Amino acid sequence: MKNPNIKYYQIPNKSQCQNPKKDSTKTKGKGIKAITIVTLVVLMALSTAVISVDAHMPGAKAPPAFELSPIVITDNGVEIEITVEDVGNYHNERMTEFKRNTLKKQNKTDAEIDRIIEEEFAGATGICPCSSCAFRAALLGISELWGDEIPERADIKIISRRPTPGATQCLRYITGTGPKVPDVTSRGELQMILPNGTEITDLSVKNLKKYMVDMGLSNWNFVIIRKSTGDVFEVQVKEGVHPEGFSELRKKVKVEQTATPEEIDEFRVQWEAVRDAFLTQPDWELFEGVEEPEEEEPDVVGGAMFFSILVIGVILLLGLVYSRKKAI
Amino acid sequence: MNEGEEKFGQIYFAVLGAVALAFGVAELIASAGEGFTWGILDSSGGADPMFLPWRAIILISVGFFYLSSAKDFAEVHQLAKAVMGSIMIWIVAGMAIWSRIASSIPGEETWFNSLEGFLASYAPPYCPEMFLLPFSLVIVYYILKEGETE
Repeated sequence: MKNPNIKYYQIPNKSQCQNPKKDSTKTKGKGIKAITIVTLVVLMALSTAVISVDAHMPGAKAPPAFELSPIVITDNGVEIEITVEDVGNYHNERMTEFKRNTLKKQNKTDAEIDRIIEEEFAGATGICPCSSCAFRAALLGISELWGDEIPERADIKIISRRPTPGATQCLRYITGTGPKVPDVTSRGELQMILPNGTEITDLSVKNLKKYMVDMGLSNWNFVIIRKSTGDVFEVQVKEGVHPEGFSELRKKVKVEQTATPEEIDEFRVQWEAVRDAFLTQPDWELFEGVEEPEEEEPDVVGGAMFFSILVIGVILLLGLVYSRKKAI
Repeated sequence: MNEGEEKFGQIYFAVLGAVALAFGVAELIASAGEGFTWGILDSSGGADPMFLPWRAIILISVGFFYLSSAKDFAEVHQLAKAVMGSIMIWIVAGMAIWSRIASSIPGEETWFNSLEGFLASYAPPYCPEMFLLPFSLVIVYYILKEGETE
């Protein structure tokens, strides 16, 4: 007895399948299979492409000459200097390793992997807008909270609002919380809390990628904390540092992959400009609440007074010598 | 030199000696670190950090010369100590003034400095020897007096 409320579909039997349309059905099936495989391959390729572009910007020019002080910390009393180049190299190494693992999962041979990495990471310094911004933010926060003192690594806590590999790996390097960070015996703390309050505990590139879709100015924010005193310093990037439409263009180029070649070129120029700004501009032009140090006005009056006294003194001295000579 | 002049000289150079000694000790302590700048007084050794400890030793010596000359000030050997102390100040202060004169003439990117830049290069802060310089000139009066006596 069939239930009238349920729709029943008749599965065709073998004899029914043997009809004049047999060949075309087979061809259709093969076509669907091929499309599915191609789509999967394209999707996989796209996913790796998104990550590789996040790690660096292919075709970007090298940064201009810049002078950035290193971050000086101690690790169990041993002084360590961390430069932006150290951070860049670490970011590059981590992204290369990630890319290698991703390619391995795609059953690529070692030779193929080496070739792909060679092509994609050629000339990459790892110094991107995110890593350079995070470095500058940490440098500023540490100098504001510790002044002339050198912080112990374990005393540093950083809360980051920027879930990108560049910023995250930079801060993991500084706090010693990342994998394969050299000279680490004590660790600081790094927390990733997005502007909407979401805390990300898994700081792997794969996981971060999920949170990198919609990012705005509020994501260019870092909080540096001196754990021993509880002092807090928040670093917020100013609005004008990024060109107008930078976030939207980034999303189009990196996430949605719908950008035209012209838009990609435009984004590359903007990407370079933002990176260069973080490498070359002073703190007060990059971050909110940092006041430009006042340029001291030359003390012309004080100088003029001293110069007058000097001239009068010389005249008196000459007068004295002259009168003594005359007396003799 | 009459008794009043001798008394004044004794007190004056004893006080000046104490001040010079204090400056010298302060500079010696400062030279162990990065020096200090307090108002218009500069003991930072910014221009020549290597010279800062030497300057401190010279000032301490000046202090001792002045203090030791206070007793029997009218006696020529005692007066000579005060003269020696003053000459030491003149040499160091003279060097400081000469360095300012020399640096005030050329501009940063031009051959000659602007009037504003020229005057500003004589602005404070000054090293302790430059403060002591006008007070050390009092010895000239005593030298002249001594010359008149002879």
